[in-house]
Parts: sequence; structure tokens; C-alpha cells
Amino acid sequence: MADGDAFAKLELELRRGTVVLAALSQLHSLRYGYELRQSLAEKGMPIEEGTLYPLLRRLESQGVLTSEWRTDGGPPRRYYVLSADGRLLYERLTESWRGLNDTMDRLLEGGGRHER
Amino acid sequence: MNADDLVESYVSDVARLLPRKQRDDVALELRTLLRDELEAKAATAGRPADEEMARELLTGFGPPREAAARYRPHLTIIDPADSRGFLRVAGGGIAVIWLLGLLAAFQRRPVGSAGDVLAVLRDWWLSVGPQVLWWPGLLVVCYATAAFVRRRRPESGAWKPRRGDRDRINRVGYLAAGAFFVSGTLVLIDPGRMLEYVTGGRAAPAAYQAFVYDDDFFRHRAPWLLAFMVLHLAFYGVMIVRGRWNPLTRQIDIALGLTVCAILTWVLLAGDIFEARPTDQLTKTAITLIVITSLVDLSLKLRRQWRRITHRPYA
Repeated sequence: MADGDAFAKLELELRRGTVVLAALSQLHSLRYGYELRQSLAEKGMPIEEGTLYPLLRRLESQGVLTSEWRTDGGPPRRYYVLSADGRLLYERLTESWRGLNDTMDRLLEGGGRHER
Repeated sequence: MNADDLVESYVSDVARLLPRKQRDDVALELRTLLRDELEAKAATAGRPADEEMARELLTGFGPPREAAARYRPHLTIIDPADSRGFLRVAGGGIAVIWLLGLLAAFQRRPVGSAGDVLAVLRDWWLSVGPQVLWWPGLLVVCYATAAFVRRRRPESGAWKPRRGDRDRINRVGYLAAGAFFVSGTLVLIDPGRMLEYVTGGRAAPAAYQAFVYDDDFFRHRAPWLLAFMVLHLAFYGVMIVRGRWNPLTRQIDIALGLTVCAILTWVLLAGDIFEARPTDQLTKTAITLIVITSLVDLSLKLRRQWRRITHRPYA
């Protein structure tokens, strides 16, 4: 039987695959890093700050996001939003995710009873 | 150090690991984000942000080296699929280079006492000890180039099936190799006569003198060496006629190869081969290389044999 350590590692891998799509889903409007992380956490998808903030930069360098500096009365913050390419990518990823989700549901229903 | 100083120090350590054009921008954003996080932590704890809180936050963010790496695209020098192969080739190569260096060190300095052995080991370490690192360095360049080419042209790394019949003997290739080894054996039998044949008898007397065998070698070791070399050649002659390897002939090939290597090692260690010192040294160096190359070849053959046995499908 898999121990707790193995479960934690495998669960982390599962979650890692969803981080990009989760982040993109919240960037149809401008958000800065901390605000995005809070939004994701409130919706049940906590992502470590050390993972999310660099990810935003990498997605921007790939042309998926655009960003701008804003002050809005506080310290200057970098706000991110989906670019035109990013919106297309988001739609395609969402479609893939739904297909994958349906497949997994079918597989998990079929695998509910383990034969010995 | 207060919480702000800690954040500032962390941001500065991350930023200096980033490319210059990205540095200021990331530092400014990271500083703001960490302060936002710290304020949130303080609000949750119901007290002002302190050093402990900042340390906890920064520990969660990871060491600056890792944090900086996350801001950049992943860079792989050696493909993970190549890592074990790289370790094997690097480790094996280092062992062979050290062994060759050790044999060379023993040849350079005669050993008569324990002090001499220590002196040989010191010579060996100074000549090839740390210098051996050129080998893994060269391998890193080769593996990195291969990984780069595979990324640029993925089709170059595609799997191709091996030659269908691996037991078939390439008769032309084996005949060419056989002719080369027969010539070498003839030279070994009478190097003076071969010199005379090649130069038409016009070589200086000193040249003939250089190829006079040591009497002890000629009487005691040469017959064994010659006998097994001829036996090995005869075996290859039979294989050329048969045209195919089978498990038994492959085992005989490995056994004969190991025996010849053992006799060559005995020849190397038992005393002089030629009377003239320069010829003797040169021949021993050549034999050392032959033994090392043959042992590498034999180990590959043994490995292939072992894989054939362990990977044989069920009947």
C-alpha cells in the first residue's frame, strides 16, 4: 500500500498539471500576483507563492500573458491579463481538460472495483 | 535583522542570479509580492510582521538559487534519459584512464621496495589523478551537443530497428581484419626478417639490433603467446567459413580473448621483450593499449551475451 509520502508526491504531480490552466482561468481581467493567488486559494486551489509568481513571468515571456505596472494609490504592482494568443490557448486547454476529465471519470468508475 | 531587511536581502540574492535585463523588474515585483504576503501573514497572526514571520515566508519561497531558476525557462544540459549512460561512460572512462596511468607509472619507475610503490603512486596521482576530469568534461560537451541536436531535430533521436540478423558474420570484414592480424603475427614471429623484407636489406645494422628478442622471452613466453594467437586466428578462420555465430562459438571467442589478454599481461609483467630498451618500452606501451582495448571489447561482448540470456523470450 502506498504510504503517506508517496501519496503526497503523486498528489503534487496531479496538482502541478493543473496549475497553468487554473491561473489562466482567473486572468480574463487584470490581476496582480498576490491578488491572483488569493483568488485561487478562495476557490479551493491554493498555489505556493514560489510557484505562481515565477510562472506568471514565464507565461508572459511565452506571449500567453501581457502585463503592465499600476500604482492605484499603493506601491507599484505588476498586473497580468490573458493576451489574444493566451485566450486561444486557454480555450484549447479548457477543451482538453474537459475531455481528459470525462475520460478519467469513465476510467475511475470502471476501476472502482479492484479484482484480487 | 528586521522583516523588511530580510525581504530586501532575499530579493537582492534572487535578483543577482537573474539576467541583467530582467533583474530590476523582477526585483521590484518580487519585493512588492513578498511584502503583500508578509502583511497577510501578520494580519492572520494578529501582530506586526516580525523576523520569524519573514523567515517562514522566505523559506516557503525556496532558496534564492531555486527561486531564480523558476523565473527562467528550464535548461537541461544532459537529457535525463542520458544521465545513467553518462555516469557509466564517465565512470568507466575514468577507471580506464587511471589504470593506464598506473601501468605507465609502474613502467617508468622500477619497484624494489614499499617506498618505491609509494613513489609510483605519487607519480601516478600527479600525472593523471585530478587531470582525469578532462574526460567527464569532454563527455558533458558531447552529451549536451547530442541533447541540443535532438531538441532542434527531434527526428534525429527517433528509434531505428537494429540490423535483423546479428549472428551473421560479415565475411569481407572478417577477412580484412584476419589479413591484418596475420601480418601482425608474422611480424611477431620474426621482426628482423620482416624488416629485411620491407627495406630490401638496406636497413642499418642498428635497426636489426633493435628488433632482437630478449632470450628469456623468446624461450619461455613467446611460444605461449604465439600458440594462442594462432589458435585465435584459426578460430576466426573457422568462423569465416561457418558464416554464423552461435552461443557456443561466442563463448569460445570470449574465452580465447580472455586467455590472450592474460598471456599478454604476463608478457608485460614478466620481464623484457626486446633487448633494446626503446623497442621494449614502445612494444610494452602498444601491448598495454591492446590489452585495455581488448578488455573493453570483451566486457561489451560479455554484456551482450548476458542480455541475450536474460532477455530471451519465454518458449
